[in-house]
Amino acid sequence: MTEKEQEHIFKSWLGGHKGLFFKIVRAYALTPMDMDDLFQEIAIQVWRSVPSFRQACSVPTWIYRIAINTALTWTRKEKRHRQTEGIEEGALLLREEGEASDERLDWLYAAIHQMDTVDRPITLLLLEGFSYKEIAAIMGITETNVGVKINRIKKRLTAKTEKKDYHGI
Amino acid sequence: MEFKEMQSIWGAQNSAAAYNFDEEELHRRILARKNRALSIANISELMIIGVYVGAGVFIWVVKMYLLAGWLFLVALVLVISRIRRLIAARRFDRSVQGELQHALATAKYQVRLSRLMRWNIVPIGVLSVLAIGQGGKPLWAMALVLLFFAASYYGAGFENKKYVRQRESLEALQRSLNG
Repeated sequence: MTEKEQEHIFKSWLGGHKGLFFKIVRAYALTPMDMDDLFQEIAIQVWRSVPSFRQACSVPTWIYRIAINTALTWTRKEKRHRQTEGIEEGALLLREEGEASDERLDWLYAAIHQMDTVDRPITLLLLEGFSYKEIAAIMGITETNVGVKINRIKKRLTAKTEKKDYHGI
Repeated sequence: MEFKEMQSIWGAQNSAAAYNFDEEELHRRILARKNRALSIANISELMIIGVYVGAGVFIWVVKMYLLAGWLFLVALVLVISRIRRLIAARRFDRSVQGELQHALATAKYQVRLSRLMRWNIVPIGVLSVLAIGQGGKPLWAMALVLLFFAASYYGAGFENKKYVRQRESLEALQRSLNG
């Protein structure tokens, strides 16, 4: 694959699935600098992964797989080791669009932020509508294990809303 | 509140993305990272091998054959470990479990390597002190060199502990994933 082809594919992935990138970034990072850093890291890893994409799964599944792994690695790294070099002040990659934020969505992101390292990606995949089988493949665990974890996650999230630990849901 | 409703709130994001990005800036950063092909870990690994070979050659020239032989042997062990690590890296898949196993294998390798490097200070220190003694240098010079190697051994312990902590946190993550 030539570099031009790689770039073309990467641009089409980024253009067609940018919402997916933003969701993962928002689920893992809190501050604008961290969001920017994680977005850059995910974009770089997805760009690197283009030549190894064999179409054994759909593009969103592939991007999710790369993005979740990158986010997990990024979370594990200590802050001082993160790739903030090259980020000059005022040169942030991400910019917020003018839309007013949905309070219920903010609550959902806050709840996801409170989850542990394993539950968080499973919740994201579940909310995104991936099947148990697809989640098992992305996570590299059995479908039974996925089922057990999802059951626990759903119970916890529902209990949170019942306790009125929410805004507007 | 049912989970299905949460899913519909989540899905509503697709119609109106809350963020956008600067395409040109992203392209610039990707190119900057691409040019930095080798990771820092990779470079430091190659540098250690280079230092051992270089020091071995230098010490061979000054006819301290035993110490030089030891340095060459350590360099050889490092090269073999590196090759084995690179070959092993190909067998992990791109699932979260696969990436975690890869990270764990790398962490275990770093623990082994730092332990080897730490223990390696002992024979190098002993051989160096013996060589100084044979050269007829004063006792205080031998004591100074011994002190230097003891401090290095102590410092290397901190590095090893850092890698052990990394490995333990990855093992905990794997238990949580499979549990």
